[in-house]
Amino acid sequence: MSLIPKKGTVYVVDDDEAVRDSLQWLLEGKDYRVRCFDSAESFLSRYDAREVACLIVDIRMGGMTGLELQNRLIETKSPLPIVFITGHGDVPMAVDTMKKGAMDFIQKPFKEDQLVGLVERMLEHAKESFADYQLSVDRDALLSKLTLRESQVLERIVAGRLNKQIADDLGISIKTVEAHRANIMEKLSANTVADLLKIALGQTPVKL
Amino acid sequence: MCGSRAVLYTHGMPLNHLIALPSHINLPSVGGAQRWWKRLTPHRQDRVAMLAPLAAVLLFFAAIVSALGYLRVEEIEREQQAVRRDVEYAQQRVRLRLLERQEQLMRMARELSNRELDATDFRTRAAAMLDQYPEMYGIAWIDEKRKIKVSLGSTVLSGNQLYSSGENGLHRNKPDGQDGFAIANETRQPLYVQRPRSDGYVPLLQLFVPLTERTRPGGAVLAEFSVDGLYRYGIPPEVSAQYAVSLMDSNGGVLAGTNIAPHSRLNLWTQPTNEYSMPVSPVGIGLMLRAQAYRASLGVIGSGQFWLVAALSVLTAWMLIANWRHTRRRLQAQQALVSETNFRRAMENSMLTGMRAMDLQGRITYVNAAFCQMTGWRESDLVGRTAPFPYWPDAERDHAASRLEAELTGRTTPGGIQVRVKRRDNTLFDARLYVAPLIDAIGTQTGWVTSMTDITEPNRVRDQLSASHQRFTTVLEALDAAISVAPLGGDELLFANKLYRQWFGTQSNGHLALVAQAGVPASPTNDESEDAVDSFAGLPTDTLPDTETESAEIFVPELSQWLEVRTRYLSWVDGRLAQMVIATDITSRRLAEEQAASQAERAQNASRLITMGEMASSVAHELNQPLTAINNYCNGMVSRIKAKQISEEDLLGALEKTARQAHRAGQIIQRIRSFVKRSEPNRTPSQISLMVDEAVELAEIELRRFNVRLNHYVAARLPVIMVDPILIEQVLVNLLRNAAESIDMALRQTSDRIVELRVVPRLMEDKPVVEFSVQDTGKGLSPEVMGRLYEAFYSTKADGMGIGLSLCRSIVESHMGRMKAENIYNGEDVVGCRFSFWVPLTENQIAAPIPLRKSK
Repeated sequence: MSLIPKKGTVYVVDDDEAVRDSLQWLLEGKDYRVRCFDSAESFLSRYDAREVACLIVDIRMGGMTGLELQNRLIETKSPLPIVFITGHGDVPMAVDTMKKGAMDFIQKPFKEDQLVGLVERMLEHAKESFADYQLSVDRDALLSKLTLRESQVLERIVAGRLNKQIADDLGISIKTVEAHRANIMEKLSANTVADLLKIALGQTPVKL
Repeated sequence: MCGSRAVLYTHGMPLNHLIALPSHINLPSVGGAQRWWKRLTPHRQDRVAMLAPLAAVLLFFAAIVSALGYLRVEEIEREQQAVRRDVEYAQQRVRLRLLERQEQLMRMARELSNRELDATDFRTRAAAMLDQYPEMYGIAWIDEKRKIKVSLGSTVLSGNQLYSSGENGLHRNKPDGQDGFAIANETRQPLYVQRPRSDGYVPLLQLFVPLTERTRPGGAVLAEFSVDGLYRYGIPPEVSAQYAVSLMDSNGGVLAGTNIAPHSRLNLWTQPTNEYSMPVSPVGIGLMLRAQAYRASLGVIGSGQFWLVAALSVLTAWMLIANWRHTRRRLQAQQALVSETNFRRAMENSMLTGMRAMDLQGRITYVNAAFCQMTGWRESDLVGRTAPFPYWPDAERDHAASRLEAELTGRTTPGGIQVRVKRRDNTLFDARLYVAPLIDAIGTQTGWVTSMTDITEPNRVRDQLSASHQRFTTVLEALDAAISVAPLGGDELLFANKLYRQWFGTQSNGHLALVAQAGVPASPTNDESEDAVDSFAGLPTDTLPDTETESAEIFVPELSQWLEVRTRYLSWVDGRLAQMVIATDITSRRLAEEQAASQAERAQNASRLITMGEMASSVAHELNQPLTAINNYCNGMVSRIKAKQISEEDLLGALEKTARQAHRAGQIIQRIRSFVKRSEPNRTPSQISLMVDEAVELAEIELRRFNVRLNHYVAARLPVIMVDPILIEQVLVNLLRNAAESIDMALRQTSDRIVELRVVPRLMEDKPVVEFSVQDTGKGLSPEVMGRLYEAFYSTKADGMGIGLSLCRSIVESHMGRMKAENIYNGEDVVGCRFSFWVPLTENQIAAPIPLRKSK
């Protein structure tokens, strides 16, 4: 099966071995790459954040629960789309997870096409969010090169202030502002002010 | 006459009227003294009364002494005055005598100076003088050349005392005579010269009278006086008779007269001699007149009086002291008597027996306090009364009178007689009288003394006693247990109460049958036979504790009743060993017990159902797991088969897994079914580990829902115990679920959500037990909850029924075990709660090797 091109990676986190195994069995039948973890902890320590993937997690587990795992992923700004497996009577809890950004939840036992559709949607979403994630990571890397003074100047450029006003604000000469400006352009490899604004505002310049 | 009149006046008057002071005489000072006297304590009064006479005697003595002394001083002074007066009188007489002679001599000297007198005349006149005045020794005419012109000696003069004519008559006392002559001529005054005393010479007094011839001295007339003569003729005889009179020179030497030798200084007591001396005036200090009073016996008489007074005073004082000591002894005796009297009075008054004394005529002479208290009459009401007495009941007056008659004639019964006595308020009481003759100190009978005892109380006690005996019998009769007593080895029935008679008749057959069925109790101990019987009612005094009695529950077909029969030995009133049987109808209790047992079982069943109902969502979740897995496997297989991408091998593997999950689901259902299915209580030898596994499996369904981890430890080599495994599982499941809920309510972190189950052998009260304990990490139990923990229908859960724990406890206790709950503390904070229960091992299980751990 390894020869067949995979549609994407699905992480399955469930403490019930049978459920985990059967889920792997089901999703591998649909040509997904499935990686199983028996607990949230082992998942967090072993998964590859750069891989475009989605996460199916049991909301109720010994040790770290699905909810706690979600919180941890939000903290790390992970772009991983999450879907929760819930049992009977856990709907209120599932709604809670949705509010926090989970894609969806599915109740046991699953309907096959519903599950597959969900995985498909998630992977689709994952591709976008992973690209955004990559961009924002890149931009953060660029912005982190600026000195404190330069980021202050950049802030004011983005706010639409003239050099003279910036100089007044910061109590420096116009020439210094211009020098900072040149440095910023160079560090962010922007040719125009418009490029600068795009980078600074975190928009995706690629699509424009 | 007067005396007889006084007698007439006093006749018929009481004596005290005569001798008592009128009471109205009350002088202020007396009043003050009286007040002072009254303020004194009796002890001080005694002391003052004792000391005052003594002081009076001493004062009297002192007064007598001072009076005597004063009189004595007066006497001495008077005597001295008398001596002085007499001495002055004597001196006057001597002086006059000397002055007369001096006058005559001076006249002669004047005449000689005037030449009116010649030698012959002189001689004649001198001789006449010498004859006339015997004290004069001689007279001489001395010329200016100191030559004796005429010398005339007295006839009494001895030869060598004569002055020879022409011879210097002054040869013997030339210097003096010369000096006297010279001084007399010079001063032209008569001059007395005392001849110095010398041996063999009579003391003489010389008088020089100077002669004056015109302006120049013309000799002198010398007259010599014998001092002795002066003494003899000059001193009045009444003076010399009274005193020792003497004439002395200026040095104190006695010239004439008598002298009293001075007293020896050894006798200090006697006074100095009463004496007085004064110079004889014309002579000057050269001649002193002294008179000494003779010693009188006055001092002896005075001191005799003094000693008499002193002796009398001492005697009086001594008698006073002796009297005082005597009085004191009397006082002590009196005090002893008073205290003895008080003691006897107190005894009489505190005695509960009434005492009455009568004289031989039947008049009451004495009643004591108890008698007054009993009858309600005062002492003054009773003393002096004769029959009929006020305390005789009106109805029995005649009888009482005849009884009194009997008493007075001495016909009394030694055991006393019972009478009725009327109190002052007309109530009656029973009393017992004892009469005894009253014998005085000399052995004659003076009356009768009667003691009276109120026997109302003993009568009442006796009544109460019989009433209580009756009550006791009534209670025994009314008891819903059949009580029978029969002697050991006899068929006679000693005691049977009503219920026994009702059930078994009056024969001992029933008793024997019950004993035979219930079995024979162990032999009684020896000490039990003593004091086992109450003297009142012939009933056992000690209680009938279960431990000492044999108890058996038997069914009696004749009565179609269940009886609980207790038998025990007792020592019957006559000392025989007897057996008592107490048979209680326990049919209804038996039925109730059976009913309660079935109800308890139903309750346990219901509780298990409720548990499962409460666990339903957990169970559903639990069942969902295998079902989901089965579903996934099947779907996976279907899609693979459709895509023809599956090997037979894979398919088999998936099918096996599917089957395993189906089996798993079946197991869950089986476990639940076996837990809730209704089964008869069934104690079987059960493996602890199996029970625990079952319980853990069930509980984990719920624990997972609460995300609580369960650690369990079961000691190795635990024996098989005799329990109903389902019930023990039920308890464990309940405790584990409670633990999980408690942790969930405490909102603990995931790492703290742990329940610990331990099953270990222990020694509890020296008995081997198996202890199950469930410890959570919740917030523990509040004291209020702890108190009501096992109360039925008390729950801290919103939807709890409140029967879980109470049921658990009854399950544990039905296995002869105990259950307890305790909070776990970390310092002040409650960090959890621990429920534990133990189930004892029966004896055959102990035989099995059990690694026992000592209980902490």
